[in-house]
Amino acid sequence: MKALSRRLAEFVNAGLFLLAASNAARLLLLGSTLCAWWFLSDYYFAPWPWWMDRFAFLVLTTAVLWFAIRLPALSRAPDFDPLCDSGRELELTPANWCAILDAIASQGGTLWAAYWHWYSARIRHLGLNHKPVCAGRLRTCWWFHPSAISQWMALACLPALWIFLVLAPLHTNVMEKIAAAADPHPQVIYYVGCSGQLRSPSLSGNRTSFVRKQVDEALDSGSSVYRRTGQCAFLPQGTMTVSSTPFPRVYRRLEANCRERCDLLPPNRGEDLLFLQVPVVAGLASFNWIQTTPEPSLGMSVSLLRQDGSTLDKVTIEP
Amino acid sequence: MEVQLWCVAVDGGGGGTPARLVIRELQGPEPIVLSSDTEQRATRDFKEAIERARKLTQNHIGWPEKKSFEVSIDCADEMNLPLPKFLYGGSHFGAVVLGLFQAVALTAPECVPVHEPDFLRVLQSVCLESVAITACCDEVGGFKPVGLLRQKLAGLSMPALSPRPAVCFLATGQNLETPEGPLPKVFNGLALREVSTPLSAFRKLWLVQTKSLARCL
Repeated sequence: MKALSRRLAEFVNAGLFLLAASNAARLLLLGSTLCAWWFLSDYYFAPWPWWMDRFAFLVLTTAVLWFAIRLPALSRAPDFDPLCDSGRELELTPANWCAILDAIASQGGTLWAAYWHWYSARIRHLGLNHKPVCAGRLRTCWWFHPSAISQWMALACLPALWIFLVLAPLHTNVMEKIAAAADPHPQVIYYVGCSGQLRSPSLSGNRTSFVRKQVDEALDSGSSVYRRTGQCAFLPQGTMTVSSTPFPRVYRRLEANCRERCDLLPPNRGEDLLFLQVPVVAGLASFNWIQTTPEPSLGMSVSLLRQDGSTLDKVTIEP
Repeated sequence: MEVQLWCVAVDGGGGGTPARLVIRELQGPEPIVLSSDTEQRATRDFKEAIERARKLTQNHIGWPEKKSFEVSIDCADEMNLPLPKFLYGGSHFGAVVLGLFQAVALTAPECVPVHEPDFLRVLQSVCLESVAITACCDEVGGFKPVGLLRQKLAGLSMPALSPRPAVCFLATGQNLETPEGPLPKVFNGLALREVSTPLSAFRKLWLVQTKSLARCL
């Protein structure tokens, strides 16, 4: 728990520095946050939980802080440690801490030096004649000093940006257009498969029994109509699997419409629907249907939609 | 105010015994005194080393008026290793001078020359708790090599010692008195570093300490 609170204080301090002390760092942080949000909201690396779409950019933001400030400290570890494990108990006056922090600042590059000079300035604001402070408390001892108010106000812009990005409309079509332009393949639905269980009567002696038979067939593709042929045409219910061009890996949806001849079964087992949208992941999507009229025709249309709702491709499934 | 660091005493048989050098602030007429136990064990050259350390401190950073410091060689805490009956030689000079430099800087910072404010910070901030040093005094106030180094390092790096020193400072040019070549960087897990003067020892420690603190601040 103590280690966790130490890490948290490290991140808060790094965030306070980046947002309060350096215009370049502020631009870097806010820019990387926006880029991460935009990239992840338009593009995915792999199928992952829905909340990753909305919150993964926060992880990237904190990674920027970590790599900029904390990692160099670990890489500069001395070959022997004169403090052993008692470093956190070292108690010095603020004046001496400032000298140490300034000395640390002189050991690194621009951002590193700026961070430690900023840290030193925070301690200096406590007053150089302040009572001795132990190393374990140094990170947080200035947080509640009046001089820290401006730092906290600067930090507040980051959570404000996070909240705005989390609440903002998530998807844009920019990545879709860029990636699709680079892909020579047409963005279409190129395969529809049908699967289900066919119950056919069989006579055994004087009794009639039903035999279940698994059916997995690809639908015949015409110019714009996919036709159920073979045994698939007799299925009263089943699952349609739709394959579309898998690249670019942007968020797309498949919209199925039954036109009152069948019902669509939502994945969360809610009420049957005439109209259903399911996400397309890696070009694949599937949905369950059930025929509701005695006619053998499904009269179903399936559309591949972009994030903004515009249609990429549309096919009809008959009968 | 109390300053502690590691030193090593050699007994009559030539074995090294790790010990703690403790310097405490006192009020008294004498600028420097030995604790009663240390006084009983101190030989003439040991007392000379203490006096040289005091003079070097006074010359380099000054000496407070109406202040006195007590120097004591104590057993290493956990093991309670018995100290030798007599404290021989001048190899404690290094430990005493480092301890006195810091003791004066902590108790009488006004003594430190005002044109060296950074050095005052160095003297006050460096943590000597896990530092060991064994070095004699040369003619100009620097460090010179000691004898029986292998036995002394064996004492400071004995596995059962807890806590152990992290580093042992030695005079520049010191060797292990063996044909194996130059001084190694590490002896039985104990880091060895060469220094020529007390100031260079403090500077070296300061640099390492800032790197170490950068990881936990």
